[in-house]
Amino acid sequence: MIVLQKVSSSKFLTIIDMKKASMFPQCDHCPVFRETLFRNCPANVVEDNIKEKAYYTVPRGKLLFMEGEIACGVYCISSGFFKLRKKGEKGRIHTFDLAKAGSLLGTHGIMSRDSRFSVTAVALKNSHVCFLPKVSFLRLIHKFPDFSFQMMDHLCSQIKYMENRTENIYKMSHEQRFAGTLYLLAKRLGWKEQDILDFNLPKKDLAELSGVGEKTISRIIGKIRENGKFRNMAKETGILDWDWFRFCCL
Amino acid sequence: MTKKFDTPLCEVCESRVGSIFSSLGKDALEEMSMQKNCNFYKRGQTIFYEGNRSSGLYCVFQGKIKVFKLGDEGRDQIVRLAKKGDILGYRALISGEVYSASAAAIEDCMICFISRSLFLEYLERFPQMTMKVMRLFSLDLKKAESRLTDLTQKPVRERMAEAICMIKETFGVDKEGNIDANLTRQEFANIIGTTTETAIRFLSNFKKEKLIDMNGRKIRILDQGALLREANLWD
Repeated sequence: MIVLQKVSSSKFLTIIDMKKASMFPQCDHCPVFRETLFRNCPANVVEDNIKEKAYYTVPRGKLLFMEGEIACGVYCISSGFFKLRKKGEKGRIHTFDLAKAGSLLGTHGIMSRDSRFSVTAVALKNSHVCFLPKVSFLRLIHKFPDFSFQMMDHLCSQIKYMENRTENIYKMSHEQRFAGTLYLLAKRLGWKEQDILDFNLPKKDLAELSGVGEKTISRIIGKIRENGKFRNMAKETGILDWDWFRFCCL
Repeated sequence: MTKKFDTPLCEVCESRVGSIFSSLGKDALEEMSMQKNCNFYKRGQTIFYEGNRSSGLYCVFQGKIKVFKLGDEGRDQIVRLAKKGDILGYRALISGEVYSASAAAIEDCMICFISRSLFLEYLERFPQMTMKVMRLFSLDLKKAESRLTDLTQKPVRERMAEAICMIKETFGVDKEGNIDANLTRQEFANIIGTTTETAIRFLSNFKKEKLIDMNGRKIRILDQGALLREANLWD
Protein backbone atom coordinates (compact mmCIF):
# COMPACT_ATOMS: atom_id res chain seq x y z
CA MET A 1 0.00 0.00 0.00
CA ILE A 2 1.28 3.44 -0.88
CA VAL A 3 1.52 5.81 2.05
CA LEU A 4 0.25 9.31 1.29
CA GLN A 5 3.16 11.67 0.75
CA LYS A 6 1.34 14.58 2.30
CA VAL A 7 0.67 12.64 5.47
CA SER A 8 4.38 12.10 5.88
CA SER A 9 5.00 15.79 5.27
CA SER A 10 5.32 17.54 8.63
CA LYS A 11 3.39 20.52 7.25
CA PHE A 12 0.22 18.54 7.05
CA LEU A 13 0.69 16.18 9.96
CA THR A 14 -1.42 18.34 12.20
CA ILE A 15 -4.14 18.81 9.61
CA ILE A 16 -4.89 15.23 8.76
CA ASP A 17 -5.32 12.75 11.51
CA MET A 18 -6.35 9.78 9.47
CA LYS A 19 -6.23 6.21 10.63
CA LYS A 20 -5.76 3.24 8.40
CA ALA A 21 -8.85 1.10 8.48
CA SER A 22 -8.57 -2.53 9.44
CA MET A 23 -10.62 -3.61 6.43
CA PHE A 24 -9.35 -2.66 3.00
CA PRO A 25 -12.43 -2.49 0.75
CA GLN A 26 -12.35 -3.68 -2.85
CA CYS A 27 -14.20 -1.73 -5.55
CA ASP A 28 -16.25 -4.78 -6.55
CA HIS A 29 -17.57 -5.05 -2.97
CA CYS A 30 -18.06 -1.32 -2.46
CA PRO A 31 -21.72 -0.55 -1.61
CA VAL A 32 -21.54 2.87 -3.31
CA PHE A 33 -19.63 1.79 -6.44
CA ARG A 34 -22.76 2.26 -8.60
CA GLU A 35 -22.99 5.88 -7.44
CA THR A 36 -19.40 6.77 -8.32
CA LEU A 37 -18.01 8.04 -11.61
CA PHE A 38 -16.47 4.59 -12.11
CA ARG A 39 -19.91 2.97 -12.43
CA ASN A 40 -19.57 2.37 -16.18
CA CYS A 41 -16.19 0.64 -15.82
CA PRO A 42 -16.02 -2.97 -14.61
CA ALA A 43 -15.18 -2.91 -10.87
CA ASN A 44 -12.39 -5.48 -11.24
CA VAL A 45 -10.77 -3.39 -14.02
CA VAL A 46 -10.86 -0.29 -11.81
CA GLU A 47 -9.36 -2.30 -8.98
CA ASP A 48 -6.58 -3.64 -11.26
CA ASN A 49 -5.73 -0.20 -12.54
CA ILE A 50 -5.68 1.46 -9.13
CA LYS A 51 -3.59 -1.01 -7.19
CA GLU A 52 -1.88 1.71 -5.19
CA LYS A 53 -5.15 2.77 -3.60
CA ALA A 54 -5.25 3.59 0.12
CA TYR A 55 -8.16 3.64 2.55
CA TYR A 56 -8.57 6.06 5.44
CA THR A 57 -10.92 7.09 8.19
CA VAL A 58 -11.35 10.83 8.59
CA PRO A 59 -12.75 11.81 12.00
CA ARG A 60 -15.51 14.42 12.19
CA GLY A 61 -14.25 17.99 11.86
CA LYS A 62 -10.84 16.97 10.41
CA LEU A 63 -9.57 18.15 7.05
CA LEU A 64 -9.23 15.68 4.20
CA PHE A 65 -7.29 18.13 2.08
CA MET A 66 -6.64 21.83 2.17
CA GLU A 67 -6.94 24.64 -0.36
CA GLY A 68 -3.57 25.33 -2.00
CA GLU A 69 -2.11 21.95 -1.08
CA ILE A 70 -0.47 19.91 -3.88
CA ALA A 71 -2.98 17.38 -5.24
CA CYS A 72 -1.36 13.92 -5.18
CA GLY A 73 -4.59 12.17 -6.12
CA VAL A 74 -8.35 12.06 -5.73
CA TYR A 75 -10.55 10.86 -2.87
CA CYS A 76 -13.59 8.66 -3.35
CA ILE A 77 -15.98 8.89 -0.37
CA SER A 78 -16.86 5.42 0.80
CA SER A 79 -19.08 6.60 3.66
CA GLY A 80 -19.86 9.87 5.42
CA PHE A 81 -20.30 13.50 4.44
CA PHE A 82 -17.90 16.31 3.64
CA LYS A 83 -18.32 20.04 3.29
CA LEU A 84 -16.27 21.87 0.69
CA ARG A 85 -15.16 25.36 1.53
CA LYS A 86 -12.96 28.09 0.25
CA LYS A 87 -11.13 30.89 2.01
CA GLY A 88 -12.29 34.30 0.89
CA GLU A 89 -10.84 37.71 1.52
CA LYS A 90 -9.57 38.50 5.03
CA GLY A 91 -9.67 34.81 5.90
CA ARG A 92 -13.44 34.48 5.82
CA ILE A 93 -14.57 30.95 5.04
CA HIS A 94 -17.28 30.21 2.50
CA THR A 95 -18.85 26.75 2.43
CA PHE A 96 -20.27 26.28 -1.03
CA ASP A 97 -20.94 22.56 -1.49
CA LEU A 98 -21.54 19.28 0.27
CA ALA A 99 -20.50 15.79 -0.77
CA LYS A 100 -21.81 12.39 0.24
CA ALA A 101 -20.72 8.75 -0.23
CA GLY A 102 -19.94 7.98 -3.87
CA SER A 103 -18.63 11.48 -4.64
CA LEU A 104 -15.14 11.97 -5.99
CA LEU A 105 -13.25 14.87 -4.42
CA GLY A 106 -10.22 16.71 -5.75
CA THR A 107 -10.67 15.83 -9.43
CA HIS A 108 -10.13 19.33 -10.75
CA GLY A 109 -7.15 19.74 -8.43
CA ILE A 110 -5.19 17.03 -10.23
CA MET A 111 -6.38 18.15 -13.67
CA SER A 112 -5.37 21.76 -13.25
CA ARG A 113 -2.07 23.12 -14.46
CA ASP A 114 -0.78 23.95 -10.97
CA SER A 115 -1.92 20.56 -9.55
CA ARG A 116 -3.25 22.14 -6.37
CA PHE A 117 -6.56 21.75 -4.58
CA SER A 118 -8.70 24.84 -4.98
CA VAL A 119 -10.93 24.02 -1.99
CA THR A 120 -10.76 22.52 1.50
CA ALA A 121 -12.71 19.36 2.37
CA VAL A 122 -13.83 18.89 5.99
CA ALA A 123 -15.56 15.77 7.35
CA LEU A 124 -19.03 16.49 8.74
CA LYS A 125 -19.06 13.15 10.52
CA ASN A 126 -16.68 10.19 10.82
CA SER A 127 -16.11 9.26 7.21
CA HIS A 128 -14.20 6.73 5.14
CA VAL A 129 -12.40 7.56 1.92
CA CYS A 130 -10.37 5.74 -0.70
CA PHE A 131 -7.33 7.61 -1.97
CA LEU A 132 -6.51 7.07 -5.64
CA PRO A 133 -3.07 8.35 -6.69
CA LYS A 134 -2.93 10.86 -9.52
CA VAL A 135 -0.89 8.61 -11.84
CA SER A 136 -3.32 5.71 -11.52
CA PHE A 137 -6.32 7.96 -11.98
CA LEU A 138 -4.90 9.58 -15.12
CA ARG A 139 -4.00 6.12 -16.44
CA LEU A 140 -7.65 5.15 -16.07
CA ILE A 141 -8.70 8.26 -18.02
CA HIS A 142 -6.26 7.45 -20.82
CA LYS A 143 -7.30 3.78 -20.99
CA PHE A 144 -11.06 4.26 -20.98
CA PRO A 145 -12.51 6.96 -23.27
CA ASP A 146 -15.95 6.34 -21.72
CA PHE A 147 -14.57 7.18 -18.31
CA SER A 148 -12.91 10.33 -19.63
CA PHE A 149 -16.28 11.45 -21.05
CA GLN A 150 -17.87 10.66 -17.70
CA MET A 151 -15.23 12.83 -16.03
CA MET A 152 -15.85 15.70 -18.43
CA ASP A 153 -19.57 15.39 -17.83
CA HIS A 154 -18.97 15.48 -14.08
CA LEU A 155 -16.82 18.62 -14.36
CA CYS A 156 -19.51 20.23 -16.57
CA SER A 157 -22.21 19.54 -14.00
CA GLN A 158 -20.00 20.94 -11.22
CA ILE A 159 -19.42 24.17 -13.18
CA LYS A 160 -23.13 24.43 -13.90
CA TYR A 161 -23.90 23.99 -10.21
CA MET A 162 -21.44 26.76 -9.28
CA GLU A 163 -22.86 29.11 -11.88
CA ASN A 164 -26.43 28.43 -10.78
CA ARG A 165 -25.53 29.16 -7.18
CA THR A 166 -23.78 32.36 -8.23
CA GLU A 167 -26.86 33.35 -10.21
CA ASN A 168 -29.10 32.59 -7.22
CA ILE A 169 -27.02 34.72 -4.89
CA TYR A 170 -27.09 37.45 -7.51
CA LYS A 171 -30.86 37.66 -7.79
CA MET A 172 -32.52 35.86 -4.86
CA SER A 173 -33.65 37.25 -1.53
CA HIS A 174 -32.05 35.98 1.69
CA GLU A 175 -35.09 33.80 2.41
CA GLN A 176 -34.94 32.25 -1.04
CA ARG A 177 -31.23 31.60 -0.62
CA PHE A 178 -31.92 29.80 2.65
CA ALA A 179 -34.59 27.67 0.96
CA GLY A 180 -32.03 26.93 -1.75
CA THR A 181 -29.61 25.74 0.92
CA LEU A 182 -32.22 23.37 2.33
CA TYR A 183 -32.81 22.09 -1.18
CA LEU A 184 -29.08 21.52 -1.55
CA LEU A 185 -28.96 19.65 1.76
CA ALA A 186 -31.84 17.44 0.66
CA LYS A 187 -30.30 16.80 -2.75
CA ARG A 188 -26.76 16.19 -1.59
CA LEU A 189 -27.32 14.44 1.72
CA GLY A 190 -30.80 12.93 1.35
CA TRP A 191 -33.84 12.42 3.60
CA LYS A 192 -33.97 10.51 6.87
CA GLU A 193 -37.73 10.11 6.73
CA GLN A 194 -40.50 12.00 5.03
CA ASP A 195 -39.87 15.76 5.17
CA ILE A 196 -36.95 15.38 7.58
CA LEU A 197 -33.44 16.02 6.28
CA ASP A 198 -30.85 13.36 6.93
CA PHE A 199 -28.38 15.80 8.34
CA ASN A 200 -28.48 18.83 10.56
CA LEU A 201 -25.97 21.58 9.98
CA PRO A 202 -25.08 24.30 12.48
CA LYS A 203 -26.29 27.84 11.74
CA LYS A 204 -22.75 28.91 10.85
CA ASP A 205 -22.62 26.37 8.00
CA LEU A 206 -26.16 27.22 6.87
CA ALA A 207 -25.14 30.89 6.75
CA GLU A 208 -21.97 30.12 4.76
CA LEU A 209 -23.90 27.95 2.30
CA SER A 210 -26.59 30.61 1.87
CA GLY A 211 -24.08 33.42 1.47
CA VAL A 212 -25.61 35.50 4.26
CA GLY A 213 -24.56 36.43 7.78
CA GLU A 214 -25.14 34.17 10.79
CA LYS A 215 -27.46 36.71 12.43
CA THR A 216 -29.52 36.97 9.25
CA ILE A 217 -29.89 33.18 9.15
CA SER A 218 -31.09 33.15 12.76
CA ARG A 219 -33.65 35.82 11.89
CA ILE A 220 -34.85 33.94 8.79
CA ILE A 221 -35.10 30.64 10.67
CA GLY A 222 -37.08 32.34 13.45
CA LYS A 223 -39.42 33.98 10.96
CA ILE A 224 -40.21 30.95 8.84
CA ARG A 225 -40.42 28.64 11.86
CA GLU A 226 -43.04 30.94 13.33
CA ASN A 227 -44.95 30.78 10.04
CA GLY A 228 -44.90 26.98 10.28
CA LYS A 229 -43.02 26.52 7.01
CA PHE A 230 -40.01 24.88 8.48
CA ARG A 231 -39.04 22.84 11.55
CA ASN A 232 -35.64 23.13 13.13
CA MET A 233 -35.11 21.13 16.30
CA ALA A 234 -32.01 20.05 18.16
CA LYS A 235 -31.10 17.14 15.93
CA GLU A 236 -33.28 17.44 12.89
CA THR A 237 -34.36 19.82 10.20
CA GLY A 238 -37.65 19.39 8.42
CA ILE A 239 -39.69 21.15 5.78
CA LEU A 240 -43.36 21.57 6.65
CA ASP A 241 -44.64 23.87 3.92
CA TRP A 242 -43.66 22.37 0.60
CA ASP A 243 -45.45 25.03 -1.45
CA TRP A 244 -43.23 27.71 0.04
CA PHE A 245 -40.15 25.54 -0.43
CA ARG A 246 -40.95 24.85 -4.10
CA PHE A 247 -41.76 28.49 -4.72
CA CYS A 248 -38.38 29.54 -3.34
CA CYS A 249 -36.25 26.92 -5.04
CA LEU A 250 -37.81 25.71 -8.22
CA MET B 1 -25.58 39.40 -41.49
CA THR B 2 -22.62 37.30 -42.59
CA LYS B 3 -19.86 38.51 -44.87
CA LYS B 4 -18.07 36.51 -47.54
CA PHE B 5 -14.41 35.91 -46.74
CA ASP B 6 -11.81 33.15 -46.76
CA THR B 7 -12.12 30.62 -43.95
CA PRO B 8 -8.91 30.73 -41.88
CA LEU B 9 -6.85 27.52 -41.86
CA CYS B 10 -6.31 25.76 -38.54
CA GLU B 11 -2.75 24.67 -39.42
CA VAL B 12 -1.55 28.27 -39.73
CA CYS B 13 -3.79 29.80 -37.05
CA GLU B 14 -1.74 31.72 -34.46
CA SER B 15 -4.45 31.29 -31.83
CA ARG B 16 -3.94 27.51 -31.86
CA VAL B 17 -0.82 27.78 -29.65
CA GLY B 18 -1.90 27.09 -26.10
CA SER B 19 -5.42 26.08 -27.12
CA ILE B 20 -6.98 22.60 -26.86
CA PHE B 21 -5.94 21.98 -30.49
CA SER B 22 -2.23 22.63 -29.86
CA SER B 23 -1.43 18.92 -29.56
CA LEU B 24 -2.96 17.99 -32.93
CA GLY B 25 -0.73 17.03 -35.86
CA LYS B 26 -0.69 18.65 -39.31
CA ASP B 27 -2.95 16.02 -40.91
CA ALA B 28 -5.60 16.31 -38.20
CA LEU B 29 -5.56 20.10 -38.48
CA GLU B 30 -5.90 20.01 -42.26
CA GLU B 31 -8.85 17.65 -41.90
CA MET B 32 -10.42 20.07 -39.43
CA SER B 33 -9.85 23.03 -41.77
CA MET B 34 -11.69 21.14 -44.51
CA GLN B 35 -14.70 20.38 -42.36
CA LYS B 36 -15.22 23.55 -40.29
CA ASN B 37 -17.03 26.79 -41.12
CA CYS B 38 -16.19 30.37 -40.23
CA ASN B 39 -18.77 33.13 -39.68
CA PHE B 40 -18.60 36.88 -39.27
CA TYR B 41 -20.64 38.46 -36.46
CA LYS B 42 -21.32 42.15 -36.08
CA ARG B 43 -21.04 43.92 -32.71
CA GLY B 44 -24.04 43.03 -30.56
CA GLN B 45 -25.02 40.03 -32.68
CA THR B 46 -25.91 36.88 -30.75
CA ILE B 47 -23.76 33.80 -31.42
CA PHE B 48 -25.89 31.32 -29.49
CA TYR B 49 -28.86 31.55 -27.16
CA GLU B 50 -29.33 30.25 -23.60
CA GLY B 51 -31.65 27.23 -23.61
CA ASN B 52 -30.85 26.12 -27.19
CA ARG B 53 -29.31 22.75 -28.05
CA SER B 54 -25.65 22.75 -29.00
CA SER B 55 -24.71 21.59 -32.49
CA GLY B 56 -21.01 22.32 -32.34
CA LEU B 57 -18.04 24.17 -30.93
CA TYR B 58 -17.20 27.86 -31.51
CA CYS B 59 -13.56 28.90 -31.73
CA VAL B 60 -12.85 32.65 -31.71
CA PHE B 61 -10.53 33.61 -34.57
CA GLN B 62 -10.87 37.34 -34.07
CA GLY B 63 -12.82 39.70 -31.80
CA LYS B 64 -14.27 39.79 -28.30
CA ILE B 65 -17.35 38.05 -26.94
CA LYS B 66 -19.40 38.19 -23.75
CA VAL B 67 -21.10 35.08 -22.36
CA PHE B 68 -24.10 36.01 -20.22
CA LYS B 69 -27.16 34.67 -18.47
CA LEU B 70 -30.44 36.42 -19.04
CA GLY B 71 -31.70 38.24 -15.97
CA ASP B 72 -34.76 40.20 -14.96
CA GLU B 73 -35.31 43.76 -16.26
CA GLY B 74 -32.20 43.70 -18.43
CA ARG B 75 -29.91 42.85 -15.51
CA ASP B 76 -28.00 40.17 -17.36
CA GLN B 77 -25.15 38.46 -15.62
CA ILE B 78 -21.92 38.25 -17.59
CA VAL B 79 -20.30 34.96 -16.66
CA ARG B 80 -17.31 35.07 -18.95
CA LEU B 81 -15.46 37.16 -21.52
CA ALA B 82 -13.82 35.45 -24.49
CA LYS B 83 -11.12 36.65 -26.84
CA LYS B 84 -9.09 35.44 -29.83
CA GLY B 85 -8.12 31.77 -29.41
CA ASP B 86 -10.81 30.94 -26.81
CA ILE B 87 -13.46 28.31 -27.39
CA LEU B 88 -17.16 28.62 -26.60
CA GLY B 89 -20.04 26.21 -26.12
CA TYR B 90 -17.90 23.20 -25.16
CA ARG B 91 -19.77 22.42 -21.95
CA ALA B 92 -23.18 22.10 -23.59
CA LEU B 93 -21.54 20.07 -26.34
CA ILE B 94 -20.00 17.50 -24.01
CA SER B 95 -22.77 17.29 -21.42
CA GLY B 96 -25.44 17.11 -24.15
CA GLU B 97 -27.48 19.70 -22.27
CA VAL B 98 -28.81 23.02 -23.53
CA TYR B 99 -26.64 26.16 -23.43
CA SER B 100 -26.59 27.53 -19.88
CA ALA B 101 -25.81 31.04 -21.17
CA SER B 102 -25.99 33.15 -24.32
CA ALA B 103 -23.02 34.58 -26.20
CA ALA B 104 -22.91 37.91 -28.06
CA ALA B 105 -20.18 39.81 -29.89
CA ILE B 106 -18.80 42.84 -28.01
CA GLU B 107 -17.10 43.91 -31.24
CA ASP B 108 -17.04 42.60 -34.83
CA CYS B 109 -15.87 38.97 -34.67
CA MET B 110 -14.83 36.05 -36.86
CA ILE B 111 -15.70 32.73 -35.26
CA CYS B 112 -14.95 29.23 -36.55
CA PHE B 113 -17.56 26.53 -36.03
CA ILE B 114 -16.67 22.84 -35.59
CA SER B 115 -19.53 20.37 -35.75
CA ARG B 116 -20.44 18.27 -32.72
CA SER B 117 -19.71 14.95 -34.46
CA LEU B 118 -16.27 16.09 -35.60
CA PHE B 119 -15.31 17.42 -32.18
CA LEU B 120 -16.45 14.26 -30.36
CA GLU B 121 -14.63 12.13 -32.93
CA TYR B 122 -11.42 14.11 -32.28
CA LEU B 123 -11.83 13.67 -28.53
CA GLU B 124 -11.95 9.91 -29.01
CA ARG B 125 -9.07 9.84 -31.48
CA PHE B 126 -6.72 12.15 -29.59
CA PRO B 127 -6.50 11.49 -25.80
CA GLN B 128 -4.08 14.41 -25.39
CA MET B 129 -6.78 16.75 -26.62
CA THR B 130 -9.20 15.18 -24.11
CA MET B 131 -6.77 15.99 -21.31
CA LYS B 132 -6.54 19.59 -22.50
CA VAL B 133 -10.34 19.88 -22.51
CA MET B 134 -10.41 18.50 -18.96
CA ARG B 135 -7.78 21.06 -17.90
CA LEU B 136 -10.02 23.73 -19.36
CA PHE B 137 -12.98 22.43 -17.35
CA SER B 138 -10.86 22.39 -14.19
CA LEU B 139 -9.84 25.98 -14.77
CA ASP B 140 -13.47 26.98 -15.37
CA LEU B 141 -14.51 25.20 -12.18
CA LYS B 142 -11.84 26.99 -10.15
CA LYS B 143 -12.95 30.33 -11.57
CA ALA B 144 -16.61 29.53 -10.81
CA GLU B 145 -15.72 28.64 -7.20
CA SER B 146 -13.77 31.85 -6.75
CA ARG B 147 -16.54 33.90 -8.31
CA LEU B 148 -19.12 32.40 -5.96
CA THR B 149 -16.93 33.10 -2.93
CA ASP B 150 -16.18 36.63 -4.14
CA LEU B 151 -19.84 37.41 -4.71
CA THR B 152 -20.78 36.37 -1.19
CA GLN B 153 -17.87 38.05 0.54
CA LYS B 154 -16.34 40.89 -1.48
CA PRO B 155 -17.87 44.35 -1.34
CA VAL B 156 -18.82 46.01 -4.65
CA ARG B 157 -15.77 48.33 -4.62
CA GLU B 158 -13.38 45.35 -4.45
CA ARG B 159 -15.35 43.48 -7.12
CA MET B 160 -15.20 46.49 -9.44
CA ALA B 161 -11.41 46.86 -8.95
CA GLU B 162 -11.00 43.13 -9.61
CA ALA B 163 -13.20 43.29 -12.71
CA ILE B 164 -11.10 46.11 -14.22
CA CYS B 165 -7.88 44.12 -13.59
CA MET B 166 -9.50 40.95 -15.01
CA ILE B 167 -10.71 42.73 -18.16
CA LYS B 168 -7.26 44.21 -18.72
CA GLU B 169 -5.70 40.76 -18.22
CA THR B 170 -8.17 39.20 -20.69
CA PHE B 171 -8.15 41.78 -23.48
CA GLY B 172 -4.88 43.66 -22.94
CA VAL B 173 -4.29 47.33 -23.80
CA ASP B 174 -4.32 49.26 -27.09
CA LYS B 175 -1.57 51.56 -28.42
CA GLU B 176 -2.76 54.46 -26.25
CA GLY B 177 -2.65 52.36 -23.09
CA ASN B 178 -6.45 52.04 -22.77
CA ILE B 179 -7.98 48.67 -21.93
CA ASP B 180 -8.75 47.10 -25.28
CA ALA B 181 -12.45 46.42 -24.54
CA ASN B 182 -15.40 48.58 -25.44
CA LEU B 183 -17.65 47.70 -22.49
CA THR B 184 -20.68 49.76 -21.48
CA ARG B 185 -21.32 50.76 -17.85
CA GLN B 186 -24.21 48.29 -17.83
CA GLU B 187 -21.89 45.50 -18.95
CA PHE B 188 -19.52 46.40 -16.10
CA ALA B 189 -22.47 46.20 -13.70
CA ASN B 190 -23.45 42.80 -15.12
CA ILE B 191 -19.96 41.44 -14.61
CA ILE B 192 -19.78 42.34 -10.92
CA GLY B 193 -23.45 41.72 -10.13
CA THR B 194 -24.69 45.19 -9.23
CA THR B 195 -26.83 47.96 -10.68
CA THR B 196 -25.63 50.29 -13.44
CA GLU B 197 -25.87 53.30 -11.09
CA THR B 198 -23.60 51.65 -8.51
CA ALA B 199 -21.11 50.65 -11.22
CA ILE B 200 -20.98 54.25 -12.49
CA ARG B 201 -20.47 55.56 -8.94
CA PHE B 202 -17.53 53.25 -8.23
CA LEU B 203 -15.90 53.93 -11.60
CA SER B 204 -16.18 57.67 -10.90
CA ASN B 205 -14.68 57.16 -7.43
CA PHE B 206 -11.72 55.32 -8.95
CA LYS B 207 -11.29 58.17 -11.42
CA LYS B 208 -11.36 60.78 -8.63
CA GLU B 209 -8.79 58.75 -6.69
CA LYS B 210 -6.63 58.69 -9.86
CA LEU B 211 -6.58 54.91 -10.02
CA ILE B 212 -8.05 54.95 -13.53
CA ASP B 213 -8.78 57.44 -16.26
CA MET B 214 -11.99 57.30 -18.31
CA ASN B 215 -12.84 58.79 -21.66
CA GLY B 216 -16.25 57.51 -22.74
CA ARG B 217 -15.99 53.74 -22.83
CA LYS B 218 -12.19 53.83 -22.88
CA ILE B 219 -10.61 53.04 -19.53
CA ARG B 220 -6.91 53.41 -18.71
CA ILE B 221 -5.36 52.09 -15.53
CA LEU B 222 -3.17 54.79 -13.93
CA ASP B 223 -2.07 52.99 -10.78
CA GLN B 224 -2.06 49.22 -11.29
CA GLY B 225 -0.59 48.46 -7.85
CA ALA B 226 -3.20 50.50 -6.00
CA LEU B 227 -6.01 48.94 -8.05
CA LEU B 228 -4.74 45.46 -7.27
CA ARG B 229 -4.61 46.37 -3.57
CA GLU B 230 -8.20 47.65 -3.81
CA ALA B 231 -9.18 44.35 -5.41
CA ASN B 232 -7.36 42.44 -2.69
CA LEU B 233 -5.27 40.70 -5.33
CA TRP B 234 -1.55 40.18 -5.28
CA ASP B 235 0.59 41.99 -7.80
